[in-house]
Amino acid sequence: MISQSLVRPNRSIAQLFSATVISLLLVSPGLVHAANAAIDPLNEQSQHLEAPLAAPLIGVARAGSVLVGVGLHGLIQRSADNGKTWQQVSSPVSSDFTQVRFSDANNGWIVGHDSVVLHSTDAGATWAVQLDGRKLLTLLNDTYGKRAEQGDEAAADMVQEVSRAMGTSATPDVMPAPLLDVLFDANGHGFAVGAFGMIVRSDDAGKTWQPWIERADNDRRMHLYGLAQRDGIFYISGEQGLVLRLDTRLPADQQRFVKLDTPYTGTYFGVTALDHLLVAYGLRGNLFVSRDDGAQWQQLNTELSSSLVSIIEQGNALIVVSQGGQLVSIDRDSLQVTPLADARVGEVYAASATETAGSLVITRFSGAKVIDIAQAN
Amino acid sequence: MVEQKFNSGMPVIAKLEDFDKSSGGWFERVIFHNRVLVVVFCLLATVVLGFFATKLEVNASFEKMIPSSSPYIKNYLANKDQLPGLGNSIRIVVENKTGDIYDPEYLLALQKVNDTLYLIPGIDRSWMKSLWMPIVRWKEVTEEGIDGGAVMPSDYDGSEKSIKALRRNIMRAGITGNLVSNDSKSSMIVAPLLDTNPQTGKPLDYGDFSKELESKIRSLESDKIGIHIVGFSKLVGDLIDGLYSVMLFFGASVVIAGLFVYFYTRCLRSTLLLVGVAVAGVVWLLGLMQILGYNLDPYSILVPFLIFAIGISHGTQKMNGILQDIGRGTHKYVAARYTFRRLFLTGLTALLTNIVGFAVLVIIDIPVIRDLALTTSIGVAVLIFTKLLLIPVALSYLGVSEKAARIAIAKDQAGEANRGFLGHIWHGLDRFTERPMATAVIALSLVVTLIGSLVMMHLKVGDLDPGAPELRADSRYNRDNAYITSNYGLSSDQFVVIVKTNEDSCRLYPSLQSMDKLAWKLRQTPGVQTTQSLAETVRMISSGMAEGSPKWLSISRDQAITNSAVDAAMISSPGITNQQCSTTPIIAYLADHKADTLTRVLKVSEDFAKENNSAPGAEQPVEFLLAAGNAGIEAATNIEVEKGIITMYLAVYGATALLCLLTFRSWRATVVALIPLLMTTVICKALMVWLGIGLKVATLPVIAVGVGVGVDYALYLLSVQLAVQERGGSLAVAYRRSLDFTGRVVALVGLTMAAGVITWAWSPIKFQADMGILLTFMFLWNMLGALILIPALSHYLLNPKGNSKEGVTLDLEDARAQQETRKPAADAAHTLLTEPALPRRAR
Repeated sequence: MISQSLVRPNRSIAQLFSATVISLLLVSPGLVHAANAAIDPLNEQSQHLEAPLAAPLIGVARAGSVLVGVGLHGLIQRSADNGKTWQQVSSPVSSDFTQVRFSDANNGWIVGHDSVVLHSTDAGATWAVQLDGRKLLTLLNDTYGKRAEQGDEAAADMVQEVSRAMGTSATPDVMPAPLLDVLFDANGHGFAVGAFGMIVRSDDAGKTWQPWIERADNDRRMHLYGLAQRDGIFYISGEQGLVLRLDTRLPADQQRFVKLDTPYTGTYFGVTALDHLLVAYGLRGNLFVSRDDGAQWQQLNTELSSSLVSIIEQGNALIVVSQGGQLVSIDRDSLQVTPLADARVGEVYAASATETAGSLVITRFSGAKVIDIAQAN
Repeated sequence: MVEQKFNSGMPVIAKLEDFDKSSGGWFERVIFHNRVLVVVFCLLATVVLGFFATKLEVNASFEKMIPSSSPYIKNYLANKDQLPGLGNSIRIVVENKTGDIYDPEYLLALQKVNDTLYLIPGIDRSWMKSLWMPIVRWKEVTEEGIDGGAVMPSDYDGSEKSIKALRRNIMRAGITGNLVSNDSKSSMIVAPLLDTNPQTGKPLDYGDFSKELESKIRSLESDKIGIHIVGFSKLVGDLIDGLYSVMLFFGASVVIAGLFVYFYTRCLRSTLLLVGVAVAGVVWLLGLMQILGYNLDPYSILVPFLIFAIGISHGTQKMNGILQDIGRGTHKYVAARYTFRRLFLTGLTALLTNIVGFAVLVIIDIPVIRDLALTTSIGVAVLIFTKLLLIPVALSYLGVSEKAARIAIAKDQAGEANRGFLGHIWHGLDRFTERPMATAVIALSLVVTLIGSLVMMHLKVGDLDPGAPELRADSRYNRDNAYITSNYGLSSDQFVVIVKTNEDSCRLYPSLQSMDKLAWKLRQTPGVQTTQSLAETVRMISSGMAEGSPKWLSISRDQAITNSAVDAAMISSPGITNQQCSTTPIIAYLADHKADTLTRVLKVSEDFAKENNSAPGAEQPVEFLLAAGNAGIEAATNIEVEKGIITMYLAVYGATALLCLLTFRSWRATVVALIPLLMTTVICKALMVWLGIGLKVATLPVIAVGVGVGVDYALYLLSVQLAVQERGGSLAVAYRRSLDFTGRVVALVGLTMAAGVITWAWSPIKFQADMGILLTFMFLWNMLGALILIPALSHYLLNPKGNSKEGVTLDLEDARAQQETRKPAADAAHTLLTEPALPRRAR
């Protein structure tokens, strides 16, 4: 019952609150679909905030000499001075953003709730919507519907699944799930992934998209949290120890994400793909590395207790940032873990390198902050 | 009738037998033929009303201090019951003065406080939170799901090991800044209160509750353990305590006023009588208040002071007449009847005028000010009995001491000889009628007024100090509050917008989105520290349900996820919405409660409500109602006060001007009377800026009372002055005579009134202290303004013969006229409406 559905209740929800089921029953479809010309983040531009920006910032990325941070309520902010000062950039939607990534100094994407994908070609100065929950719903129905008409049973199942997912959407024309990560390679090939196993693929830098939900070994529709890419090979990390690798040996129209076996059953919030080093990291300081593209995994003891949110390359070292604000450094060759000085900044949501070596920008509930990497005493 | 009384038939009669008892009006005869009855009635009334007065309840109702007809307040009152989370809880912080909370001795003390509080009736035990309460739990996300337990280890034994476990649990529970202070030196007990006392079934009495806290909890304080208590109920309790201590001030006021009277009359007997009767008047007032269903609250407690002061100052003038009659040899019974004859009607007129003056305050739509207006009017009405009837009758028995009577006469006859430095100044006052001094005084006044009006621009509406504005910044409560504010996260200034939806619809995505947007807007508003709302809690819980991932800090469009989050929010934070999920508060914590901040926050919320309230008949209506929370109520009150001050000025000055016009039949005299008052009003406002007192409910009536009482001085002085002028006296002569006749009375009235209110300055209730300071200033400054400015202004406006210097000394006829008019002129102090009659009867 739980499997094979975009409406799979989140495992932890089910465990935490048995009330879920009750409330699901309580809320009749009529209530859910109450047509109300109310506030919808998809229809509204972001609100301009007073400087200095101190609003929740969820993701941050570097585009050449510019830093771009994204956060709640459609907040996009840019810094041209390595994070010292920030300017807000207007956003066409006020959805909550989850991630920002650049494929080069100019091209960047933001993903977020309401299945939005925003694209910038000018290093984050302006942004345009490429995909949102409305377009995604149409895309899913059109794509799978057409295939189902041609007798594709798997596609017919997908049509059913989408319809079930829409059963709990508060707005009947918008796909209700968030996208959690986005990544493009230098040639404009890329993916966006999200909750309930959502995967969409684009080969034209996001102009058009294809649904890839069924083209992954994720029948239980785990949330997909992280993306990585190396030489055109994409990796996805997700709940319950899920790490997927794009199998590029297959012909292009049959390519799919195959599951890599990992020794961990918790959530991997992110995955990093480097030369001869694949890193998956997640809950409670858990970090696993593989030297052979995911066949064998080795756990590194980070001695961190909170979730890991980001890994940043600094020369030959990987800086691991935890949600609790602790940092460790991992030597890429020896895999030696060195604790770093506690940044003492409270809860950290994400981190990015800056142009200055040894200096990171982190995002928090109260906005961005620049911290220096220093060895713990 | 008045003229007749003054002119005819008041010869000196030394023997009672020579007095025609059937003389005088019928009312006088009725009263004096039934003297025993009057005295018995008054005694009986004092006893009966005194009995009721003892039952007068002391209370501090916050609802009475808010403008109940303001649409904002109506919203608050209509939804008050649905917003239990707002303020109706008690927060007790237990501090370790010698270390941190990870100390077995401290934890034991905390347990004692916890268990004691748990047993105090009125505490909602099921939701009480502290380190010792099992409902305070830690949670941790693990691969298997959620792990958790009570923060206090179940096997706690004070050992190092169990304290270590506690420390770890506190970290995992994330309660630092919430139940544990940021510096780990104290921890908090939060206890919601029940509406009713479960033992008595009656509404919880905050006064009793607060006393219980003091006696049972505060008493646990020691060199090691500090206890800080805040909460609405504690505040009310402290206000009631403050009221009791203010009652003690009444004694001080009585003594000071008594001394003034004694120095004026030099007669112990009559001083005691006057003070006694004035106190009796207050007893009547309190009894009547009880019977009419009023409580003694922080505002109405001022009424007895005012009534006492008015009673004393007016009574003294009555005494003055009797003193002189007796001094001249008239029998005390006859003197009493003469006084009654002379003064009953004028006194009645004066008191009725005073009633009108106070009643004007009724137009301000704030219950406490209304009550103040009504109770003061009742009090003044009481004075009609005690002052106009009882005093003459009592004096007819008691008389005055002969020595005092002789002094009174001697003082008058000696004229202005034998005076010291003050006397010198007194004598110099009539120089203000001359051009150089008049010009100088007016120029100086203009400069002072100009400076005052520039400073006045900075007058702020509302309260300017942090903490509970009702109490002083250095009060125990506010020190406790400051301690908690600085060591724990949130400020105590809450501005609340109430969100109304259909039942069970607060959980709907569109409702939550619009709540969220308002909260977001408020967060961006300068002066808002943070916000708390169901929408934001749903964000946090959604993230928590997704293993704490910040990417889920959102309100999911997936109603199933959002429903779970709302359910969890309602369990973890009761009061985040009501039980029916239909009334949901959005709380903005403000950096301060200054008017600017409140106005800004109010405007943001108001604009948002206008834009986003759903149209009538919407299937799922979402309505944003302003405002609740102490800051919200204060914002609404500020609006009413700002509106009220203009109404108040128009009403008070309008009424006063009309009164002056009726009295003087001259616009020039009216202008002369009003200009000192206007000046006082301006300087009073400047003084408020300098003293950091805001314009608020408490200071609003001060201006009206100040003007109302202040105009008396002008009436006293001008009436005599005009009378003499009309008889042909020069301005200088007229003013000198007016000073001689009424100047001392003016000074005495100013001083006794000030004595009545100055003691408030030491009140533990902040706004009472503010009122006391301002009223004292106004009573004294009005007196000075009248004595100095009236002659100067008269020089320009009431000096038909130009700058005449003739007749500095009086001729014989004038001297005789002086004898004739002395008493009537002094009585003219009261003669407000009847004043124009004076000149006619003087000849």
